[in-house]
Amino acid sequence: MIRLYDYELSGNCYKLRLLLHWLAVTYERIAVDFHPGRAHKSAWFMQNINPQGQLPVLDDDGFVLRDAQACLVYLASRYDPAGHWYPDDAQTRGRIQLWLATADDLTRGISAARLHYSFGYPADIAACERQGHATLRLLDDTLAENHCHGTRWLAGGAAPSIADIACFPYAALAGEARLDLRRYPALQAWIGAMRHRPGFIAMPGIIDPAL
Amino acid sequence: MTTRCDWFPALPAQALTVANTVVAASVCGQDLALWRSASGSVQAWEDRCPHRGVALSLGRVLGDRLACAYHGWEYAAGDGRCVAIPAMPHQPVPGKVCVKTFAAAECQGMVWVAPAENPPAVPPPVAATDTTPHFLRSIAIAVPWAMVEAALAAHDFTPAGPCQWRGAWAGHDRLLLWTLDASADWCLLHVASAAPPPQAQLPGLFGALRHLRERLQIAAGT
Amino acid sequence: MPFCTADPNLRNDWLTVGAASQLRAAPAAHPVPARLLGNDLLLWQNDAAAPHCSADGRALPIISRYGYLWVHTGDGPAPALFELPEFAQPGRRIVDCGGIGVATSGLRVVENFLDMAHFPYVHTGTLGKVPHTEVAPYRTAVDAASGEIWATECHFFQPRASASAGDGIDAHYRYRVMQPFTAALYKTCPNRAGEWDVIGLFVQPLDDEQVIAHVLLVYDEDVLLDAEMIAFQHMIFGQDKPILESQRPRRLPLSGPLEAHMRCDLTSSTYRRWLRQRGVTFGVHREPGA
Repeated sequence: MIRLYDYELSGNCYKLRLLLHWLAVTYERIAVDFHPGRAHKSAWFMQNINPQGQLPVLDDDGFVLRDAQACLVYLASRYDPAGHWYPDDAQTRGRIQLWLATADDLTRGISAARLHYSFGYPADIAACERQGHATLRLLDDTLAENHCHGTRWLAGGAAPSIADIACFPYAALAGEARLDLRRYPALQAWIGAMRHRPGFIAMPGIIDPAL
Repeated sequence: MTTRCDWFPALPAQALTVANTVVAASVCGQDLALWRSASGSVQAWEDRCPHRGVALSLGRVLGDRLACAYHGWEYAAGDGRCVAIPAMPHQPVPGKVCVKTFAAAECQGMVWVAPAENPPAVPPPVAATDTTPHFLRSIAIAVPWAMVEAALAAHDFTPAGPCQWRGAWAGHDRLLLWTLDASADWCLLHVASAAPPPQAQLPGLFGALRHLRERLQIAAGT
Repeated sequence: MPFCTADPNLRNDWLTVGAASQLRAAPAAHPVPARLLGNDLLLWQNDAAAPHCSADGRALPIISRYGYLWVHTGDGPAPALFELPEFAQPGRRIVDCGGIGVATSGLRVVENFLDMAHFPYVHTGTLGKVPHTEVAPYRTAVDAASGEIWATECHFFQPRASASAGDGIDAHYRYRVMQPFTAALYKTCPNRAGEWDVIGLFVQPLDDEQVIAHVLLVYDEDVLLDAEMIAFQHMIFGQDKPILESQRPRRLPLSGPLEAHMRCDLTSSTYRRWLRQRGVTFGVHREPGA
């Protein structure tokens, strides 16, 4: 049984909850007291679960992996025999890798600002805002241009891949970083497309279309 | 410079083709929720529910109604009247609860909005083309509208109507551009081709658009 | 820097600056900064673990109650802080869920806390579920002795009323407003019939349009871990946050045509009338020119 060290409000943890749900893989969610307890920075957690003191962490029957993007690659490789989420061809894999790296930019910008506004984490807010807008602009440009080339997904193709899952949460949570998405219509369209995928599940802060 | 008129080019209509879409937009400093009812008509509403002031762009499209994300109050396409209050399903809805709506018209693939108290007497301007344009993209530029207009004029585009330009650029002969004065400090530039665009030339045009954005934003210090 | 309001409802009463635990490693030499009413405060504890507070070089009265720190910013004597007798009851599980920042007036946060009609739409599948959307009539009253608002006989169908709830129940609620920025809800305890679980909401106003919302659980709960109880609470709060932050105006209108009031909004209209009668101005929307 997969165990996921998880926090309800973490966009990075949500990426794995979303993919696991779409893959229909059962798992055990282990709630970590990220706030106010900062349990992910406790001696116990850093010694036994993740020396980086971060979430999420995946434990698949003793195979322990940290880092949301690494976990997306692992889960898609292991549990998606049809290869929808991490397709096998070189060009798509190259593109996906690019967007997994962009997901780190989102963590650095939008997630950091969100942690500052929600939990009082210190942050250079002006820098976060610049980084946030730069990444949102990149996503909007790509999605707008991809649309002309016949695809609505970041790495191309007829369906989303882990590239889309990796970038989705923090783009959709941009409002909590006080970034307005009004100026990014293509990004809004993509967020809507993800939310309306069959079987979509939300996280607190991202409104689920289904009632 | 092109002229201004009562109508503003808010968004290409194709942004509202996918069902259940509500787009958060801005026209002349007015925040809007744009959506299309099931019967096909485009709606431009103040992005604010009259119950508790929540953004309607967070809401859900239910056929010909838009439901607010907070308490599920439902508003009818057209006049924006509240027609359902789920917390009181057996009582009549008071007639005066209404979203502030603006005139919206779909014309040759563009959604035009008139952000004024009363709808304009004249319809939106038609594009300088005889067929529906092929929309390529909308790009936000964080500078005032006048600056984008000046840049297009300097670029050898020709005014083709209120907020509209036409010309050739980056291998595309028959481009149409619309400038939307979204708010004091940013614009949306909508770009379309009057003829089916040569696919191989698209990257060049997209690169040119991004470069224009960078250049103007650097000049404006944004 | 002075405080950003002279509103006596805020200045004469106690306001929270967060959990008492934040002073654990805060001697006088390493005070903890806090923000309140537009001003920067310093908090520390002395060798006897007594809390201290200063603002603009001046000492301010500060007390520790219910695991939280409360500061008095006014000149006159402070009233007694509200009572929360459940806190000291034996067998109660006390869980501090921490403070979460919200970009809106604290009055909006309290009003949302008092509302049930949003449960099926914002907390879908837990605190509510379509089509169980009707809010049955309930009562509100202002207690003559304490001046506090009570809403009683509230109930609502909840598929998953709390972290430990199994099946759907008709959850019973009582709401209480102790101060403009503090409220409590008492809800059916799934583990013990006849007992109420208590959720305290203590809003720390940083300024008119920014707050930290602190939540305290005073529960009857033996099985769940703190992390699981906090996770459920944060899920609920995280779902409310985008709604709260999108409300315009950010400050709460107490009268006028901006917002519609229905019978199902009884706690909201009671709360707004109560704020009007007390002359609250901080965090309140004023029409331009008014």
